[in-house]
Amino acid sequence: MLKRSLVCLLFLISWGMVSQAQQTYTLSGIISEGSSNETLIGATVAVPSLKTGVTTNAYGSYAITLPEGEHEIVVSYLGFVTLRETITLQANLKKDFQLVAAPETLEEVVVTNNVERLDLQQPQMSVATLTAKTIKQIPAVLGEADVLKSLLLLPGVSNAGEGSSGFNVRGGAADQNLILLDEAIIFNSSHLFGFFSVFNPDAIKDSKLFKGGIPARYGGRVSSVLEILQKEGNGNTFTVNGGIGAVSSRLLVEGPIAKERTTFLAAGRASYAHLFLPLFDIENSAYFYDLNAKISHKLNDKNTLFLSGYFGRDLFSLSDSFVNIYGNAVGNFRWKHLFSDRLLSNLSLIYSDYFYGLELDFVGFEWNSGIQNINLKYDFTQHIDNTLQLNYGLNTIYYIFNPGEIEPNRSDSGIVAEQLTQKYANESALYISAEHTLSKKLNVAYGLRASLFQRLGQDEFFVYENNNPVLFDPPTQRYKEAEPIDAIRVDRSNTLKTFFNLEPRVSLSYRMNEHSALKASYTRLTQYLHLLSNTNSPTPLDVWTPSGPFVEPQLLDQYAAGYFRNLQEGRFSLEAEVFYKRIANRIDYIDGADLIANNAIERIILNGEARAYGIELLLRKNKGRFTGWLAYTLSRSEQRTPGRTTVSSLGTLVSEPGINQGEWYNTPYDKTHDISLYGSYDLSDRWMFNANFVFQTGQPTNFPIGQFEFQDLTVPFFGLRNADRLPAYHRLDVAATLTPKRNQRKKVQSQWVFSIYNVYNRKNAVSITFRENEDTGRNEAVRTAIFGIIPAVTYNFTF
Amino acid sequence: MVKRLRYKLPFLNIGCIQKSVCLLLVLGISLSCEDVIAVDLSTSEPRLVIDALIGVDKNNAVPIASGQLRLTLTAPFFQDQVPPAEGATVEIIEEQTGQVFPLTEDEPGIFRTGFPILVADRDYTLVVHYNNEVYTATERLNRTAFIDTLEQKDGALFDQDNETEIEITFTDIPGERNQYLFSFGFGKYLVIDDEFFQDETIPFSYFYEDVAPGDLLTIILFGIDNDFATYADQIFAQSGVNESGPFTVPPTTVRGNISNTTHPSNFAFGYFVLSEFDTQQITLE
Repeated sequence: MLKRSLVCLLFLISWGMVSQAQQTYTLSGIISEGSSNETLIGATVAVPSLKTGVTTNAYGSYAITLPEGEHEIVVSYLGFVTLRETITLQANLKKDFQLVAAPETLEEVVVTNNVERLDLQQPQMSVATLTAKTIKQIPAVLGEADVLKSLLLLPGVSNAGEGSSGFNVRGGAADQNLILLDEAIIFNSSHLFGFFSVFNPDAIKDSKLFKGGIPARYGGRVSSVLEILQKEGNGNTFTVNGGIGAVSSRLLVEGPIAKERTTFLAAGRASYAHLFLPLFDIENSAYFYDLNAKISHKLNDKNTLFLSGYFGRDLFSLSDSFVNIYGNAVGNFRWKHLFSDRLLSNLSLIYSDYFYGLELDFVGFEWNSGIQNINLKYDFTQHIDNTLQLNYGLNTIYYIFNPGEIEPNRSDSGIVAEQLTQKYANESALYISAEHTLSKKLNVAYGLRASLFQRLGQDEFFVYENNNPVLFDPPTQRYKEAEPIDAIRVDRSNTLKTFFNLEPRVSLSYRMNEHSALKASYTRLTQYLHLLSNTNSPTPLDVWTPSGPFVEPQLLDQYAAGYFRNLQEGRFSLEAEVFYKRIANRIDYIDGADLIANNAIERIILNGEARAYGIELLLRKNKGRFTGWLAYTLSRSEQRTPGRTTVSSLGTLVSEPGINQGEWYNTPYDKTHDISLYGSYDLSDRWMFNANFVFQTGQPTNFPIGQFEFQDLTVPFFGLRNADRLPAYHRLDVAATLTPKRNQRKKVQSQWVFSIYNVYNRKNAVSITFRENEDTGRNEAVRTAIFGIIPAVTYNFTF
Repeated sequence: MVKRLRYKLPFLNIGCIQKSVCLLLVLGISLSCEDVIAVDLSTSEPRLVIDALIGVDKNNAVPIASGQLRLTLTAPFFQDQVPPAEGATVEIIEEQTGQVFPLTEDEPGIFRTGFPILVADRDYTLVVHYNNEVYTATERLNRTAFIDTLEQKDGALFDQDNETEIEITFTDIPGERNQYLFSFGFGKYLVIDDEFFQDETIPFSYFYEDVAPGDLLTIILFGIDNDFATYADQIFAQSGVNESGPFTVPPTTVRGNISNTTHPSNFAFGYFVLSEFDTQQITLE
């Protein structure tokens, strides 16, 4: 199968090479916004006479091959004045275009191309794109515009409810999403334990979520890829914008250092320091902040350098006896080089660090853990001709995992300093993929990624009898941790285990007519890192662990097919997709597994599998005063961990029950129905209204089927796993944006956003716990709901 | 040798986060985080529950067993009482000598008399005959450490007015890995593993809520083994003694060390554990 797909790949590529026989030249360049020089992603360069065209890539570049002679070129982008220019091609030509924003008078807005809108031509499917503009318009909790929360309004994306970090794509777990900020891996995407995401919406240029049909240049997570690109900074003028909200304030400064050569962007966001103050009568603080920065320097036409960084921290403290700090720090140095008009390269060196620290003064210790990685990446985009573009490259990531280090925080503490065993790994990949136009109707993107993962030696590696770290005890029918029989030291230059996987990717689109297309894709992905989390949504102190002798990499096969149609000349668009995916080696935890500070997690995990399938519908209205979408997902997500057959200490065969008697059960991310409705209405120059409504089937959970008493405690017990559900989740949010008439004498443009979250004050349960009431002694079911109705006002400004 | 931090329960666990959740609301409008709701539950057939934490006071010259063995049945969750399991025959067998110690049912389902004098390093098997089925568990006496001091301090974690800080100092049993169970009264417990303070004297603070000057507090320190430590951790988590919220542990059915030798699938809940303990009291000022 794999061999055949390789042969097929080579054949298709060589065919593409041969077919370029006539006299043609390449027109290439960069399309940017006139006022700021910020490059535009997804702008269209079209040649109407030849009925051909291309869109700019993530770096704002385009390349198109045209026959010798004179051509009219049309360059367009949503919200910008369309540019028409006639060029004469007698050799390869490099030409940059600058677009000017369309005047803000609504009647005249010419919607020519919308990056969020449907593309029938490209085989890429299962992608959700949100621009920073849309993200800022969607009503959010306390008025804080949020990338991750906005994504939840799209089909196939959900989360565990309010106050839960991460998101779930097509029934996958939160740790199965690859989150990239300017190419750097982000390990924790949330501030304040999940209430806000770590991405400052002001500093974001574009965000794209791949749910399926994931291109070969990405790998390492099995569910999705969320790529977030930071703005490069205004190349023409110095601008400042910011906002003051209910939770945080933001400030962004950008401008040229050397005009049209060097630009910078610096953005900061900080919450107010004593968010928690009113609750407790003791000294405390809880806040977060983040900083984004980017510098780009154009050396010459062929070389540009970028330096970008992010630093964010959450700090939470209670009267100095409990201090908790965590956050990400990333840096990326990128060199963009044009070898020729047809060959573009990007070389990146990326550092990323996730830190989690805790100080408990009343016990007398400090706790630090984290994960660091260095990533070297070299990517190439080669434009062969108008029917074939190649992407290829390689990358290698070196990881250091620190599961935890404890030390006494004062001299009278009884704590003895200790380092849990650090783990090391190398993840490398080589990929090639092609975007290939086979005919006017048929487009194919296909590629192959080869990934190699080496788990390196560590100071203390446990050895178990029969190589089995999880034992089953038949008399009590319980799984138990095995005692290691030895602990060996393996030098870091040796590998404990190596994994190699080939990951083919194929997607194709068949254009049925002007208005509609069929698309299909197959994706194989491998995930070598696993987040150990035994709760319904990740917490900051969950630890990532690499694959190794006891933990196999997760392997995904995903099939998706879809029907795409533009209605009424693009006024509406309809997308319908079905997907089926299967993940091998999804780990599950034995009952009562304790993950925190566990130096031998192999003793509490069992190997299982997961599957998910569903249908997603998205109907968008793209033009007019009223725009928005309706998204519906019907899906199922399940996993199972069948029992093993092992040899007992007496030498007899024992068949184990596995988890949940080895039966399939709903994952916590199984949402049968997921409906989102988003609408935006432009009333006038001054007023704009937005609303969204979401409805989701309640999250699977367990309700007790009885109680027993042990000592003075009432303990509930349960039947099969995740057989019950929380009540359905639904809410309505509204927002109004007021843009006062700009005062001609002042330079400041201001904007007010008034929002109400959860308008009808629905108490959506994030959990239902069953416990004994301390006062009455009676058992009760307690619902925890987080956000009721929340009005908020945010003030934004630009000058 | 294998490492674990059991401080998790009161300290690392995000009990505080739940309170922090409410905080944000203060900015908008106040509303309660939690409310009691009605939920329809299905029920299962009753099972036997064996609750047998048998202690030996380390301060006594003779290791006389104290505590009781309680047999009950499971009940639907919203039922007010769990019924006693009456009419069982209960005995403890000292495996080295084979001597059998029958226990007496003093009250329905409660056995307080007939315990053997517990000697270290010997196996004791509990045998319960109930409804023509036999349930057994075998354990050894777990050693404990002494509580060195109890001291009242004036710190607080969340609430200066309603919290009272008691600093407990104890010294780990030297030369081995140990687990301990603290009982603070009021149905509050804490499981501690000595991983990060082996052979050391460690002070730590516990914060009582709603106690007043003049109150007499009793703190008991039990020595336990790793298996019971895991069990107790789960019992505390599932009983809701610890705060819940978005980061709750998933619901699990907590199984103990008792096996049904007649029909293994008809398992019993509960645990049979033998522990040395030390106890100290403090009167609040």
